[in-house]
Amino acid sequence: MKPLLDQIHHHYGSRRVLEDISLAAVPGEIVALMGPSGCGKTTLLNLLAGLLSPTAGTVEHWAIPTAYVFQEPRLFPWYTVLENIALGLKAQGMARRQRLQRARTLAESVGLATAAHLYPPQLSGGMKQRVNLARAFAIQPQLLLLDEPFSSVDMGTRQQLQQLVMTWVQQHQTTAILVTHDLAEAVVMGDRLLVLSPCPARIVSCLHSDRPSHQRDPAYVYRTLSDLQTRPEIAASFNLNPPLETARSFTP
Amino acid sequence: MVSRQSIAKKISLKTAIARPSRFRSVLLSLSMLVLLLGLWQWGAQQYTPVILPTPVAVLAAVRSLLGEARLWAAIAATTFHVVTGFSLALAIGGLLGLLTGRQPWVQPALAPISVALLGIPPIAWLVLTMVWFGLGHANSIFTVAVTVGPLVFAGVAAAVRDLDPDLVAVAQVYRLEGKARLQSLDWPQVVSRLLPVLVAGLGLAWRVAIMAEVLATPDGIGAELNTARANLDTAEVMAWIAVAIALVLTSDTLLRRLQGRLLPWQAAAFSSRGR
Repeated sequence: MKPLLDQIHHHYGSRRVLEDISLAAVPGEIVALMGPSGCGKTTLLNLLAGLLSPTAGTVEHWAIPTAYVFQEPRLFPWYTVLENIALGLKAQGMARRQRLQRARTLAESVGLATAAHLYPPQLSGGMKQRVNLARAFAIQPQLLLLDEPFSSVDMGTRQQLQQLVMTWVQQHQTTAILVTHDLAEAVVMGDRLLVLSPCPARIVSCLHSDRPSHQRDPAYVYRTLSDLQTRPEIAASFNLNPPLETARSFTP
Repeated sequence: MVSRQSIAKKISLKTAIARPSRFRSVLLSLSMLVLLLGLWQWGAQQYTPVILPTPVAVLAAVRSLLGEARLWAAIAATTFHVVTGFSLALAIGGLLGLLTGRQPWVQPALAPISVALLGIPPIAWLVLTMVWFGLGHANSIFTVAVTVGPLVFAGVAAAVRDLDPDLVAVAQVYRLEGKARLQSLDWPQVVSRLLPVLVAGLGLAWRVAIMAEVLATPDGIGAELNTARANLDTAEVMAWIAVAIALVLTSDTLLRRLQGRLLPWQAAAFSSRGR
């Protein structure tokens, strides 16, 4: 286990957002972070990305390079798909021809082969998110931060993109931190689920998946989901209705 | 009773109004033009040629101008005033705008000057330049620069200051720094916001330059306009106006071409808007 965050506290003015958060991860692991809206999940990713400094505690920046897949695509409108994917490589000083070559290979692997020369305004939402993902993959990150990256795409695309991320993390032994609102997504993708409390966020529960990612079939997901929803700390964190006692008393 | 056919007709009419075909819009423009020419012709018959010459007379005046050296001399002089004044405005307004955008503390120092300059009517400047410079090229050039400069200043300052924070975060995460960041983020964003300002500024520059020439400069289209007016040759006055329109349209088209060349992604966005 490599430490990422050590006893982090973070305030925005007088508002406490994060309290005593420590986090460590192993390469090839997807950690799914869940919690109610506005509980500070994105703040946590911004700390890990170095976009923010914590009020107290330490952020370990061993994972270089770090890539961040933002919730919105945030593509550069003046760059084509390929140029957007190659952005991080340009920052690393790779020659244009070489980086566009690598971007083309990546574009093909995320299903954008025919869109390579289009500009962002010409892309659909799902295509933009594919570019967002490929841009992150391009720099071969040690740490991959994902902030609800699939929340605005259709179900089929979502499944494909989830699969892409899981395969990538496996193959490249990347550490991934996935923020999600979607319990099902957390169950499908997460090797470990961390549940945060409402503001200020604390880690209230840490659950390890008992199956490797390729064995999480729909039946498993469905079973795990219904099991998780009855746990009081998860119900509280997601503001779910408490499980109905009457529902259990049905008899055949 | 409303018949099915009439509903169909109504619907097709509605779509036709919502999205006029190219043919239809050309037809509309042409018929408007013909209507205007007709009105002009009718008006010309009511008054003497000094008040309103006929369209044919103006056309003849344009034709005779096309054969004269003074047309090209006037165009050259006006173009010289516009290009020099506009370049000065770009250089000074652009530099100060860049400074203000980068160093926010400069903003409060320069803002009152910019507001004052924007508020002064060009004609007031002209009165001052006649006192300062007498009659000559300097009047027109200075007035153009001082009118367009603040526009460029405000445009550049805003473009540099208001970088999209979302994209800045992307640049930070992917460690886009120094020259690479300037190339990938700052420059394209500034250019994309600035070109529309330049298109507007150049249009203003032509109008101000010609106005300055009418009153205070011995050559250029404005000066020729003034001479024609003194000769009571209204047909020639209108011919010069036509020349001015042609020049403004040409420069506007050239700048828009440049915009399309520099910002291909904006053209792409425009063409895909119907999707």
